[in-house]
Amino acid sequence: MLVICLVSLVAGNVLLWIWSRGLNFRKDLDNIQQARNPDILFVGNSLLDYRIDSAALNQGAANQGAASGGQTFTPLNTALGATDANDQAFLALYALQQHPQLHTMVVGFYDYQLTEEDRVTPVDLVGNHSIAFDSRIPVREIAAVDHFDTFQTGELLLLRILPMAACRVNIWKYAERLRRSMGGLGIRPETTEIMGRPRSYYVTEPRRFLEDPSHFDSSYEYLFSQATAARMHVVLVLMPMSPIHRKVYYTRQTWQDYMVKLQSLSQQRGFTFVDASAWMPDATQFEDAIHMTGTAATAFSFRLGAELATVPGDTKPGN
Amino acid sequence: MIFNTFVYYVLFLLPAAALYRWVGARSRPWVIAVSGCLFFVYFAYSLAGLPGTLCLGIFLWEALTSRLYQQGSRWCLVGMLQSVLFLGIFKYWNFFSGILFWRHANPLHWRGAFLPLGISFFTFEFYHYAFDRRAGRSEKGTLGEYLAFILFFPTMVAGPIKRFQDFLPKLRATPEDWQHDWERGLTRILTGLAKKFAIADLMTAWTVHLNRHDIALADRPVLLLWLFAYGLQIYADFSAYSDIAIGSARLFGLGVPENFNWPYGRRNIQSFWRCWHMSFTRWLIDYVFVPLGGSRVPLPRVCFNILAVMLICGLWHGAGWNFLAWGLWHGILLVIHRLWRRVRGAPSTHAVPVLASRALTFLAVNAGWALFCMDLSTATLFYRRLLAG
Amino acid sequence: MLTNLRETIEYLAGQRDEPGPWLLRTPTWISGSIVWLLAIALIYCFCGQSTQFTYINF
Repeated sequence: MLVICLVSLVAGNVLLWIWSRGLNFRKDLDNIQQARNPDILFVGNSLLDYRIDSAALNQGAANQGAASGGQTFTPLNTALGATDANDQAFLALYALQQHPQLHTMVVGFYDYQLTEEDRVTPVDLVGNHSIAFDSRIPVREIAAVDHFDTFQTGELLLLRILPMAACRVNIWKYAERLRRSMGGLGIRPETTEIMGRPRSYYVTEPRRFLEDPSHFDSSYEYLFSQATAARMHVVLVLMPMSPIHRKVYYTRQTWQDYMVKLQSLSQQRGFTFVDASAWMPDATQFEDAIHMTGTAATAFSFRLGAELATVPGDTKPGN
Repeated sequence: MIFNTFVYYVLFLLPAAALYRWVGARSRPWVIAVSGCLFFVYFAYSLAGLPGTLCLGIFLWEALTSRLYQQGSRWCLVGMLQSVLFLGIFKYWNFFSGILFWRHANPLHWRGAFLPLGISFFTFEFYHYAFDRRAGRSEKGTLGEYLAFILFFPTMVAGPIKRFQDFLPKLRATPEDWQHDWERGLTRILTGLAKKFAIADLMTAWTVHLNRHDIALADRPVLLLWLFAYGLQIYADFSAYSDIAIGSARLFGLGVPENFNWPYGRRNIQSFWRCWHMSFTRWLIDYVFVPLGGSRVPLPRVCFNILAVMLICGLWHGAGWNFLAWGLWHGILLVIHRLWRRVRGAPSTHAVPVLASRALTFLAVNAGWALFCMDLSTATLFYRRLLAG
Repeated sequence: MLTNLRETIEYLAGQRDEPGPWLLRTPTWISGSIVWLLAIALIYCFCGQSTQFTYINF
């Protein structure tokens, strides 16, 4: 009986490993590996995922004329939907490791994303957070970014060895979808954004940062320290938000105070801060409250290219 | 929780059960006692920090005082009292002191209150031992054997509530067919875990809506769905925990009492309680109902005893008015059943009354779950919306 | 029939040591393997549940 179960488990592990090779974060890592001589790195979540138009970016830069100094960009977009700061850091760090010639890092964010702290344990690594199970991300990096203690690091190591644990996310999503369809029975669904998060979620207040505006979220701090060590220039872009989102959340006093402190911190660190939140004034340019349409993404890329052309990006020796 | 963590199996259960098999008869109780101490320290620390860990002292104190228990001895009364005190202080201090200072700030409020791991269960085992020692119904056992009894970690957190006189012979026996024990034990654990994840946890997709906000917004038929989902969830969850505990004990070659025997679908509320959380029901009967006079007293007194027992039952589940209300609901059902039986005599065996009685019992039990899982005001809103829209 | 069903389920779940009348002729290793694989599959599929919201992006 034990033998049958062990044989079945081994077969299950192999099949699941094969099936999971096409997961989004794996494709992202493959794209990073295969990218050809990128020089500008984009980091972010679904707001930036598939929303950098390379041609429009370069057109925007060219439009700056003399100010751009004829600069062109070869962007590498590591932004991935459904990720948190730590996941984005892993992708970006992998890109830095694969492409040392990168000279600029552009981090797209919204609301309090840059400063919200998130505590993660190995058990929380579902969805796109399972990027931590990919063997291309060093364990010590994960332990450093996620603040795993020795025991949790051991747990992570063990989970990475077993494909059934590391690739569980493919099966997990079906159970999760079942739960959500069950939960939606007989109750009027709340308006959600395209990723499924209800609008009522966006009510958090950044108390910790307002009291102590000396640092970003620890995952971004780690990433920025690596970028600075690699002599990259960091650009923080507050992503375009729909008029309704700006009206409801960005007119609040808390947000105004937060922005002042955030910009001040960026300045202290020598980062460039671009407030693009009002770049798209028309609600039709958004699929929901926060995600741009494809057309809007092109316009955004054009304008961002113009902004980036004036940023001192060529700081690496030999560039 | 504990039974769905790798640590429980990898660090505690499998090594302890394997070691238990290999050591000699004299060392076996100490294997359980030591592994139980380590288990308590580990999980109590993760739940309640250092204060939680220090509660291991309660077990050690109880083990020492238990050496004084003899038939007819007053030390047994002390033992019973201290078990009640341990439970009362940790679990009910804030609740009862809050009642004393009704509608005012409670100066006796214990801000850092926490529950020692498994307190609701181990205090009941302490009480049983003291009570039965006094009545001469239980052997004393050695210190190691008693420590093994109270520190047996598979049943420490959520039962089943054991009896020393049942546990001791099994502890003293040499486990023989360990291959069969492990096969049956692992089967029980795996099916328990499957029940927990695939049924109990899945039901939370519905039961998570049992709050004021969602109850006010939901369609009426869905409220009933959520109520039945809770009934299924609590049964699957608790019976799964019992399965894992019983299966874990089987790995040691030790049998512990069954806790559930297909409670839903029983013909009447009395049968339901004989099949739901059976070790707890037996404890209540032996140590509360019978000492109050049981069924040997006049009918009004029997009804009072039933209500008293069920109020204690409700309160044991949680320090809150809603739990008392839930206990009272079941007490009333039991009293009605007793009176009905007195009037109508033996139950019918025809198919229709049998089916009707099963359905009615099922509905009556499930109707009470709203009191169990929500505070009184939310439960009232729930019933109002369900019955009156 | 209900009694037989109950006994069979209890045996398959590990609660009973004697197989019910329906499984008397079935070798233990067959019924046991099926139960174990089914339980492991169910545990595997459903053990990642949480009431915490997690995005699904694939």
